Amino acid sequence: MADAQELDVIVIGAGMGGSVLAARCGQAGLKTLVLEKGATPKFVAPRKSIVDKLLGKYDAKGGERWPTELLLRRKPGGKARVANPILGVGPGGSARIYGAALGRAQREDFEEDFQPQGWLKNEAERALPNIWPVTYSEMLPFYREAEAMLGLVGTHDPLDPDDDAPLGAPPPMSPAHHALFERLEANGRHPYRMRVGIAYKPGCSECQGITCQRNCKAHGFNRALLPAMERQAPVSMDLGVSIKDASKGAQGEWRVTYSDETGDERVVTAPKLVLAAGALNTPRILQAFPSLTGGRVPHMVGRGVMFHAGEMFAVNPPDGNELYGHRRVLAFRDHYLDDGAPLAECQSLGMVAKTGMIADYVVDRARMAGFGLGRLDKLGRLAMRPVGMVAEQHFAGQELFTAAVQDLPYFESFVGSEKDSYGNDRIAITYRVRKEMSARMKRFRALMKEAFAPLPVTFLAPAGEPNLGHPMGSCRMGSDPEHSVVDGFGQVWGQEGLYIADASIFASSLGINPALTVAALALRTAQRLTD
Amino acid sequence: MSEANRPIRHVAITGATGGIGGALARQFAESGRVVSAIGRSQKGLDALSAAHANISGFRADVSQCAACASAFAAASEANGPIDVLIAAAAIYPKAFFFDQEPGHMEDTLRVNVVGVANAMRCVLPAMLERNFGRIVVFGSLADMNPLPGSLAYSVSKGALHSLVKGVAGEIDRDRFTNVLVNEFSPGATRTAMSDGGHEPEDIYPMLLPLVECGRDGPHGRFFQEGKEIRLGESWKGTLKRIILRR
Repeated sequence: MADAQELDVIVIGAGMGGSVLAARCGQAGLKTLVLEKGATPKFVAPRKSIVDKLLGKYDAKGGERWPTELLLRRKPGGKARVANPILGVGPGGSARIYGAALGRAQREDFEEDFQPQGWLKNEAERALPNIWPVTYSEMLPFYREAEAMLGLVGTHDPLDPDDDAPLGAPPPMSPAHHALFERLEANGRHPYRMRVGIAYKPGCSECQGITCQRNCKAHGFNRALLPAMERQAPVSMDLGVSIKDASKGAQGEWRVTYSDETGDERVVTAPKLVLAAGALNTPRILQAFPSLTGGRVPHMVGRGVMFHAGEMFAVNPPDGNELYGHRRVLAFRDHYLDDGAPLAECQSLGMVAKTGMIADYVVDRARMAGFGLGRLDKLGRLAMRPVGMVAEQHFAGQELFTAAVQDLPYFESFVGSEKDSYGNDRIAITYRVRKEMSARMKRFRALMKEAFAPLPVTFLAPAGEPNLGHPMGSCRMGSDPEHSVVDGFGQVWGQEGLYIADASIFASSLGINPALTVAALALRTAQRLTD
Repeated sequence: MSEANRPIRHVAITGATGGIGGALARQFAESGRVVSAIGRSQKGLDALSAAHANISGFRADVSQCAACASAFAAASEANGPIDVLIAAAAIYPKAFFFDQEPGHMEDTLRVNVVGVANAMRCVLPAMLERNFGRIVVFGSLADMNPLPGSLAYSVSKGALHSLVKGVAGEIDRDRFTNVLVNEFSPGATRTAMSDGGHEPEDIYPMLLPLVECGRDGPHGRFFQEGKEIRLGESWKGTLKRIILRR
């Protein structure tokens, strides 16, 4: 085997956190290597013949998503259900397929400890302590830097006195969006133009759920890491990586053995190792290689994982207003918090309900409920198309909204690994929707109906449905090793030079999409590494 | 489905100093539309502006990207957002392939293909932003059976089929429902290019449906003298279309 290559920083994962951090380290002159599981992105038009679809050869997601299904359990040892992973792989990570919603969290998210007893009097179960060891004021300069880097468009939140984000002008709205805006204002709400990292090139489709092929949608790779590499910063990336071993060497250096796209095995060492594989994979790396943490996996690794409750609803705009154009256009935060209970920002979903999407959704729901057809799921998708077509007609002319309703961290919620019956290593999640969440969802729905009244509002997702694309908090940040895995700068307790820079370290789930906060935290950790 | 159409106010025509382009400019003007005539000959443009108060001329060679962009910018500055683009600029130099001078093929492709692409790229962003626009590209079936001595023209018109279909396909129909791009062939017409066929004034009524159609009108399709011709459709495609009633 070749001698180990010596570096300054090794980063595992080229998603939002890993890309941003590696770019900053490289720009500061640190010799940085990024290891990314995904392969070189290729843009191949998917085959679409009916025969291919029936045989399951049709893969709409073309290698840009996590390849194996998730195993979901309500409690330890319970019956496992399967679910589609909503995780991107490859340079950019999940941000390749995200909707580029890049709002900031709020002061309360960092500085308050949310406990279910605050809104559910007889609740016995307590959430893990969720005050951040970082204050909102400490986060602000990093938020600003991340916002400038990702080229945000939108307008300021009229309710937030701290909101000084650098923003470009958003594209014009259609008459229907104007009418919705006015409706919300007439109902005493404070809508503003949603904050998104989209360059809005002419004819932009906002590419939610798929890779943008026009370099229009911003993510960590195309806005930070790639520019750094193009400016000859000493940062490089290996693709198609599979980690074989990771450990701490005799001199306290971090040593990673991996194979790359070509299958060659390589060994690299560095005084700094940064895990940025995402909240479902970073804890699994720590669990798989206990020698990273002195031979014993810290007890909080994988514990307290959170998912937003993915709320989705359709609103019928006032009659006579044409609805068209860009769809990720408005947001409001009047109900971010309600009487001490954390809720969420309400924002445009940014998608138009289409036959295929609805059919997929129905089939995924059926699978999660235990009515999967296994390998014949593709058939189910085809069979559900008529349902989708009816629904598409029904929702034509309606605008879809979404909200990432805050989740709380519970010790019992857990991410780990499990071998399936084929011998594949799967991401296994133990998670259930609590009563306190249902109570908050009920409140949120009532508030949304009020906000848009008298316009008809149709809720489309089961209340409290976890958004599996927003995993957070599986290696919590905190002020003591008893309740957390990392300190306020993302360094693993007691492990000099071992950092985490992704949504794993969130102490609370925020009422907003996690991406911008991941970028801001990565910038903060990068500053620590380069000082 | 077909809601009240938005009124068409501003029509931009490239190749307006040609036979068909000029006739269309006058006819659109007479129907009350504001017409921006774009062409290479200042004399021709002056004559058009003199012919009707609704016509204003903008001199540009559409094959030159920058000149084309400033002409369209000036047109929308003067006459408001462009609702309709008629891309009629074309040249038809006659020469046998073996006798072609250097630059012959290049010039033809530059005007007939690149010129159309330039014009479309100038008007489309604003059309998408307003979610309203109709683009009619003057095409031909000359590519199917190239006449001796008309090779460069035939090659260029063949390229337009894929240009129109391709641009139409890149428009996100979920978001931009009311921007339609089609190809239109007038058939043989008595102009500088041809000695016989339709009178130039006959073209306007054949083309009008592609301009006045609602959002459920055709998109990315080819029409000859008012009838649709499905280019390159396989028998499986025909079957699928009939079964699915597309």
